[in-house]
Amino acid sequence: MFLRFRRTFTLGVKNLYLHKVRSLLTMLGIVFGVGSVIAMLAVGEGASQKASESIARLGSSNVILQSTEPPVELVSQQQNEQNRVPMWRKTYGLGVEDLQRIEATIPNVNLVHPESEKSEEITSPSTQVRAILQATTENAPEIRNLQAVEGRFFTALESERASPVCVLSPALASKLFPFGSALGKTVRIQADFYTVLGVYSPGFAAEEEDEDSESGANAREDILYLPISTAKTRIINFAYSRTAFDTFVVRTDDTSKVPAVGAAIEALMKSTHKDKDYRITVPLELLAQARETQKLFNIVLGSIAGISLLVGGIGIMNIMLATVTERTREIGVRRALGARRNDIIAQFLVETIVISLTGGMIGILLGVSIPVLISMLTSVPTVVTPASVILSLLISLLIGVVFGLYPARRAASLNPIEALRH
Amino acid sequence: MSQEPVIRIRNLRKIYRLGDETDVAALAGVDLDVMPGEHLAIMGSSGSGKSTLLNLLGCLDRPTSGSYHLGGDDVSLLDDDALSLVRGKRLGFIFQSYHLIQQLTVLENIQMPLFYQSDEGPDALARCKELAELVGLGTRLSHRPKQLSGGQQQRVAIARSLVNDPLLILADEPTGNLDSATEADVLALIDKLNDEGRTIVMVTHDEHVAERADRVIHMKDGLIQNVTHHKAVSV
Repeated sequence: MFLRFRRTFTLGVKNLYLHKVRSLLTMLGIVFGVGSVIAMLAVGEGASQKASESIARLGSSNVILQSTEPPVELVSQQQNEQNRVPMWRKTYGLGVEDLQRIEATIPNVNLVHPESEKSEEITSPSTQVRAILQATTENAPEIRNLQAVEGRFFTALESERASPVCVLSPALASKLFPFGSALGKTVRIQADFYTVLGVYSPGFAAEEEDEDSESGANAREDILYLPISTAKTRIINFAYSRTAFDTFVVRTDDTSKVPAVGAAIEALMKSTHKDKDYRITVPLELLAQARETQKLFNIVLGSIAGISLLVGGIGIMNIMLATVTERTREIGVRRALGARRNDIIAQFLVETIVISLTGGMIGILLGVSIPVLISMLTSVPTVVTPASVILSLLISLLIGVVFGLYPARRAASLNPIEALRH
Repeated sequence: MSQEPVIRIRNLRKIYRLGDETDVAALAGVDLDVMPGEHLAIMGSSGSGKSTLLNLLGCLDRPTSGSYHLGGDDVSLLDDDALSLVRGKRLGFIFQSYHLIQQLTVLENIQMPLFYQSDEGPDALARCKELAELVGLGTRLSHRPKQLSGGQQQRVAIARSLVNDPLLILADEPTGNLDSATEADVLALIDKLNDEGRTIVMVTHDEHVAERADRVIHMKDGLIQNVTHHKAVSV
């Protein structure tokens, strides 16, 4: 049995080798089909992983609350009710009382981290740069994944005392102090001077909020972190801001409790904020949604690539049908010499499977190379998963069997006498 | 002690249906016995039924009615797979156009009938080489058919017909495509096989070729019209 299979296989490979150009052209459809399946899935998977990572960096155990300007009609309505409070003075969004309420009433919350930011001119002895001032707490490195480059972050005490201290992003530090370390130097914001305690490189915050940036700061690379209390007491923009805080990062003590905490915060905010002047984001839910969307995206991409595989399969079938006609006499000879119908089927099936599997393997090389090239030439992330490679190989095997079966059966059904006369 | 015939056919008929209703009797009831070691020639004009008879003898087709015993076994009712097995194990074919497989070497072509047998025997390769020597092509084992002359190709076909040690060799105009010098060589080889005890049934148009047979049957309209004996055969 094994000997027979080996001979059938050897003969099949030999036949294909004798018609090298035709075999190569026949397998091209599969090569491109498999290549495009893997490449498309790699691009899809890359996008999916990037989205997942971005969302995960928001913190899967966090709930994010942001101040948003309420819709105009709501403000007008309320303005009427509250008797002539000018709109420019009307405050909205997250306040200290929200922070306290969340900390006091929502179970499973272990930290509420407030943040606000404004754009401001920062002056060093040598230059002036417009940068983002991020008023935050001492917990920022942990919550926002800030990486220490040099020096330290401000402490809880400095935060409590509203000390005139700050921490710079590396880009801003090099702009303000191009000829040496920024540590211990002072910068001026409005009328006050602030001591630089450290240089911290931003984590996700710098990447995430690019689109929302109102500042002229260079792609949110130029960030100055300072205690929120300092900002409120020393910088006019913060002191007279219409929002007390831009953002709360609410950290839960257990990831499984995130949806419940999110729902509780939503209910609390709804009851205390009649205007819709906040936005609540649960990264965990976003992650689930992103994964669901990506699944759909992969199905669409996979289907498109699948069609090219189908076309490749039909190409194989066409060539094999032509081969059957061309080799009719050979089929007759084989039948006369003792080949059963199944032997003829096996003979042709082996050839189509060898074509499609070889095409599949070349396609895998192509499919793995394309994403690498895409990632090298563009910033689009790509990830080739072993599953897509195995799937492609199985599909090419299946194509070999499915599209080879009809020509093979047709060859086997030939009448040996007629075939010998061909 | 009387010998069992290699071929025993009785009232063998083959009717082809042309179109919807027209039946044509290619064989209209043939009786024939072929004894072991006999060299039988079948002659007849075109449409006489000789090719149909050869196809039935070669188990390439099934009769409409009648019986065909090959080596004592009734093969007229076997299914397609069983007929394939009979062809592979008990019959050897020599065709007019040699019918070698172009992509295979001389050695591989000789091996071909063994390819479809589950057990080809331990010394199959040695036997194939031996047969190649027998037909004078021992030094051309790795050549492909295209690299051989017509006579050499027919010699390969003869070696191939012997590789399964068949009960019967069926030759269909084996010298039809050869020049006279090569024809003599090939016929000499067939005679040699017959002298060694091989049973040979050959279809031919050529009287001179037929004269070398022990017995010649002449066919007409699907029937054996007459029989000529050149040598005494115990039938």
